Amino acid sequence: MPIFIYDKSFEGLLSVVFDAFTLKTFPRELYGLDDILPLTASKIHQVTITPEKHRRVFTALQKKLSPFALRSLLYAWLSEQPSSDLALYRYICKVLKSTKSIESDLADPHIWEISNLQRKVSKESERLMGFARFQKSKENIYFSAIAPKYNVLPLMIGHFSERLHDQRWILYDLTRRYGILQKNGSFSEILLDERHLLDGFLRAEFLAEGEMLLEELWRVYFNSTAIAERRNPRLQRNCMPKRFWQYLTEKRAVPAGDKAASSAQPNPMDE
Amino acid sequence: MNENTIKKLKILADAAKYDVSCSSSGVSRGSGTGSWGGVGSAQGMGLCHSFTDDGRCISLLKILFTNYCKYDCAYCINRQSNDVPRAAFSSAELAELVIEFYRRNYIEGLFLSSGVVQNPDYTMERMLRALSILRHHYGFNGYIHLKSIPGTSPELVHEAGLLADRMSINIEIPSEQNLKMLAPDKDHQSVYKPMYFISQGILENQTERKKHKKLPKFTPAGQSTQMIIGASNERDKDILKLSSLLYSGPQLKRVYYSGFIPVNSYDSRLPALREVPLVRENRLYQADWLMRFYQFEHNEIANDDFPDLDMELDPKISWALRNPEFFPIDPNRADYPVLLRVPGIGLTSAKRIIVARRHGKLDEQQLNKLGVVMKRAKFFLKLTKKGFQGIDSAGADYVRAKLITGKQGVITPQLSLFGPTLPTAAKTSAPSTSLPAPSLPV
Repeated sequence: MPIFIYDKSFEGLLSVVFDAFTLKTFPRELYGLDDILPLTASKIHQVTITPEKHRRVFTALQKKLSPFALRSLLYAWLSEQPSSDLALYRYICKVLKSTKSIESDLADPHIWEISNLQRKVSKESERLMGFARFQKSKENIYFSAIAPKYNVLPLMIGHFSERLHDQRWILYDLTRRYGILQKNGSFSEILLDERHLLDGFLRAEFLAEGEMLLEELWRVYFNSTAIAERRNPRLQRNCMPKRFWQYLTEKRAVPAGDKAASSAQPNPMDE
Repeated sequence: MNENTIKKLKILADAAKYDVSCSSSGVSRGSGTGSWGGVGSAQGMGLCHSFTDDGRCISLLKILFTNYCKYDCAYCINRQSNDVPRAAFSSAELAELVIEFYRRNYIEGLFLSSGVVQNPDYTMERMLRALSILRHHYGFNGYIHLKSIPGTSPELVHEAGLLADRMSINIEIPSEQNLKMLAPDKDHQSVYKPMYFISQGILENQTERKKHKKLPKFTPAGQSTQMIIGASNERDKDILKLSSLLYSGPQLKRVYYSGFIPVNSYDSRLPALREVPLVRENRLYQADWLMRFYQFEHNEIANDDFPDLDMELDPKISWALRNPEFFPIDPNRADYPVLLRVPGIGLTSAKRIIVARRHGKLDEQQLNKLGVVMKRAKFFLKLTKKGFQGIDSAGADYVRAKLITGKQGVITPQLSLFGPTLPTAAKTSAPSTSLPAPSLPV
């Protein structure tokens, strides 16, 4: 059983495809540089990544796939699931080997798998565009921390750059520990000193003046707008899974020392 | 903004919650053409920012400008004769609140309604002032949904349409005579006139903009309305007929159905319901979807012979059981509108079937993978399985029993105080206590 080793990057994956077609050897499994290889492997090939290799594969794909399907490759890659790279590899090989367009052959399990990953990543990204909450810091930067299941930060930048184009903001991925800062229309990847945060939110001493009042206003609004006679926790959890709650201003457990906690009204729906 | 704002917000958000409209869709706007010049964008499909404890989506700041009101409508919590705390925003205060919430990604925009102070025009003017501050002072590009006050003069409605993305005006009670009984100050004319005026305005604006592309848009996200379900004695067929007329005539984007919440229990004109008619409300939304997306006519779903929706089964299954001669259908050959009629095949699965079957014939397993709910659909599709009892061989009653026993839990039929008890299985189809003998395989 042939296996290939590569650097676990997207360009690396495309280079894997290039080598497979060139050497006419199609690996059954893919491993990273630091992975422990299986005991039985008939052929081990380490892929060298060159710009020429991945560009040629990408161009070939552009000719065969619609813009949507092409974009789906990126989404599937960002899912960062254990064998999503293998799934992508199989899909790409299938597409390149066929003479006609097969991206709509949803009954095919390999095509379906990529379509599935695309949908999951897309849904996570859209949810977070709604669920991300910003806090204004003392330096007038709006800060938001999220903990997405998939690596959707790159997919959210366009939306927020359009919407909040006149304010400086940071979107931070707590799980993957990197963030994006927008300043004057340009973006940069940043690392954060997480001592600024408590449970994913900026600590009180770093917040702008009046920020606590605003968060309190939002909590009051959130609680007042619910209709008690229609209480439906199951529907709420269905639409807004609990894993998002800890980073929502309105659902988080407000820390004991927080000034806002003293003025918070008990939620009438909890009685 | 200060501690006082908190009190006002509490009162006025609480007062606005019975208007169930929640969408922020219908407008796509960024910093390009059509921009108001300042912060924000509008997302074409709308975005849900949160979900309340009753499960409804929050995408806009839904608020009353003031809950002082000179009317005394029987079904409304803010009616003049109720002793509830009253408050009012100032235009500047409201605009600032919207912008600050928006910048923190709490909301897509504003949903503004109001109680009637002095007269409709006076109230509308105050509301328009807040909108004007948002659009012109802040350059706000986000979504604004404005409720029209019934009886507002056309000039103000026109001004509103240039500032708001969506406008709506609530019918509340589906039939005119019941409306007059419950809200003597209102009538359907005061609702339909502005509705038609706005729809005219939208059509004219669309025509004009074909010639002059830079002309400002008029109510680009269209109109919607709301009907209260269960506060009066209309049958489902009447409600759906009205919705159908509203979707075709003034071309509303949405009709909302709000299950009557028993407020003002002291008022004898209102039914003494113990429970909110949630199942009926859900069935009406399902019927509404059938009309808008599944190409059903309103009288296919409910008519004089079948005036109320089945509470135990959704309206699509209900139609299928009443029209068994339409089935079975072949998923590999049927056209899109025909596929849509099969219970268990939704819009997405139907589209996937059409696209995937070009590559090869689809079998049961593949249909299941594509998202078809085979548990339901199997009774209505032409399948290769020998001896399988579908609706054509076993009949509607058999399939009905199978579909109902397949469900978990029991649905208690919701009672109506006006008409007959809402239909259960025993009453809609021909009474049968035993299943028909299945036909032997040939």
